[in-house]
Amino acid sequence: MVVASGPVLQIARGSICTISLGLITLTCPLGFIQTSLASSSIVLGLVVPTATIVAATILLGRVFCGWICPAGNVMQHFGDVGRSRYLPGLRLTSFFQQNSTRIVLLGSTLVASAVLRYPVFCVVCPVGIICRNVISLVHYGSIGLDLLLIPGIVALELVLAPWCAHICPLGTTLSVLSRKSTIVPVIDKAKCVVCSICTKVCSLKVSLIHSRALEDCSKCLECSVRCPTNAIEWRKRAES
Amino acid sequence: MNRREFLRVFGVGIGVIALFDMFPRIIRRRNLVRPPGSVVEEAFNAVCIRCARCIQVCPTGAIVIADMSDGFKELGTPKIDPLRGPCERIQGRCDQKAKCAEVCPTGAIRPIDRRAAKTGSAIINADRCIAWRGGSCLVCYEVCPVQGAISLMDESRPIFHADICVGCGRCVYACPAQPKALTLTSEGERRLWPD
Amino acid sequence: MPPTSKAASVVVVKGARSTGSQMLVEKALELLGGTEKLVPREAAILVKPNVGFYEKDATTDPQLTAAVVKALKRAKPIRIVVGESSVRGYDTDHALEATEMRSVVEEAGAEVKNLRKDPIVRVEIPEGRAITSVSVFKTVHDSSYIVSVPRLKRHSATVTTISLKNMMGTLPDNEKGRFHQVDLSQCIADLNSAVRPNLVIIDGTRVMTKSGPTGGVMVDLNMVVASLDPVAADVVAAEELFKAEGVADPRRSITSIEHIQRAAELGVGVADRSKIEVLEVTLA
Repeated sequence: MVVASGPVLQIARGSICTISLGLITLTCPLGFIQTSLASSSIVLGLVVPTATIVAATILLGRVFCGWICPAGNVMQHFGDVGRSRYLPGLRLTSFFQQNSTRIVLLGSTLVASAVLRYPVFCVVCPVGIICRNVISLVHYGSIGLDLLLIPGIVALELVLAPWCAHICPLGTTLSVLSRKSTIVPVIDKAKCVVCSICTKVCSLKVSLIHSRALEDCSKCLECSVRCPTNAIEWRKRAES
Repeated sequence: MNRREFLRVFGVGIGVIALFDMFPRIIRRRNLVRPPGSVVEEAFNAVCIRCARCIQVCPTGAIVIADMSDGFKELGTPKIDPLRGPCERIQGRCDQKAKCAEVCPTGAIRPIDRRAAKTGSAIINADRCIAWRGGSCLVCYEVCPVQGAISLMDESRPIFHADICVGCGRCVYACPAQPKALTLTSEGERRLWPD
Repeated sequence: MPPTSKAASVVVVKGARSTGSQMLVEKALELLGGTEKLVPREAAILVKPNVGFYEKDATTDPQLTAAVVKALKRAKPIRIVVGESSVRGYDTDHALEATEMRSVVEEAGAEVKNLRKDPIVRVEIPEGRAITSVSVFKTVHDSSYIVSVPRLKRHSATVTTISLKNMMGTLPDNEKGRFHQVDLSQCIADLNSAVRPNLVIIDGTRVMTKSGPTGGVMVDLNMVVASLDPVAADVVAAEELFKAEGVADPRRSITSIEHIQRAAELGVGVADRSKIEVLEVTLA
């Protein structure tokens, strides 16, 4: 919750788009790519802040999603709970479960940014919207209509697919970078009782039992904490 | 996925965005007033990452976040609203360094000679102005930090000179008329060209 | 002061640049009778300088204000607060800092207050002609002795801004706006009839001539004008200002200053020059 509380408590400057804590500045990689495409140039001031997140992601996977992003998990939780409570019979189309769909979504935002000449996703990014409205609320006591996009996205999420795992273009970008992340969760086959709790609690919908979609792992540690037999370990990815 | 599904997702996405983009332009008639040292509008909207750091750092509260009515392309970017506070880059809380330019990470707002910066011009609606309606008020003239931007007719009625005005908005903020007799527009603004 | 048959008394103390505001203030107060005699026992004093803008030229000299504070302390008040609410559009805290008023006065041992942060109290103006009540800051309302310490300046809307206009700094922003909407000069008079300065010490060390309240031509007069009558003090100070500008008939020009005339009509003080006793002293 650093990004949400930072501007409120005045300890950090900025929002999820670009935030500074002391001398360290971090920038959303998707924001960097979009603004660079939109302006047909490399936005130099963002290069180092982006590189920091990129480096962390290549090494550790989607830690941004697990530890920094304040909205994704919350929104997805509403979606999951809402789906199970209000739409129990709903079977989500497999269309969004496919990896290619989210790649296309990401590609669309990048093409849109280049063609329309502004960072399209930044405007609707739910995290960005929340951060900016927190800042405007704290600094001059008003909020914007763009907040209405949030329930819109949650509603979309209810019927389409979990946000973090299958829709969020920033998440998709980070997944692409995480293909070769060095730390991964590994199940100790000797201890595992195949209860599938790890897969059920994973907010990024990583199917650990089947070792699928490990690049989506955000290192939130939920699976290893909830595993009844402590069968999950965090290890360097084995060379193979 | 097959080509049809691909085109559907892509098409719907672009269509929605284009719609959002067009709609507010029909409502909004004026261009936004941007912080001093901003690059030209096209480049501004392209490169601003909507991080809101300039909003946080502005000491007078003059910079606010553009909302839906300002346009989808402009949504989330910073603009100057003189009703919230004046821009004190000439004289006041920002006269050592323009703080917005200092914190902007993308170069949408750049440090420039604050005295040369022109963010726009103030314009007067004489029907609402207390002085032009015969009352006693020259608050705009009193607070203007730029010699010659406002002159007096018959020593009692303010005349605005857009060519000298730097668009700081102090007169707009201070105007006691209800409704306000002054507005800040982007008229005559000086912007930077990104290299 | 020697006894007088006139209705009001004003002292004018002049010096050289080397005289310094401390000496000018001390002499002026001595001529008025001394703070121990003027200020009631256990007073809650409000000193109201002009810190309406960020520029030192347009605001009361902090050293002079500090000298006033030091002199007032001899009257052993419960408290002395130096307070101001700057012109709309100017941040009072920044003004207090940029003019060095805050640092100099705090060193002299008085509390410096940004009145804009105060809660607001409604005050009735029974004699008011344009307004019958006004909102002021609580500190102003809670003070039992008010000292107006303005800088002598010209003003675009009211001809001059001296001790009467200076009292507008006790008003919240929306009230200041209302004064302009209704009738500025009459409202200033009405305000002073209800929130009347008990003592006026006018900073004439450097005065703003030709135009104001900012951007005028500064002239060193090395002068302090003081009185218990704010209207009379304003009249005498304005006369000095016009003389410094080389105006042909200074006394006639004063009749054009509406808020002074209206204040006299309400009984705030005496504007008729022939009824004002002026004691002028020049320090070597």
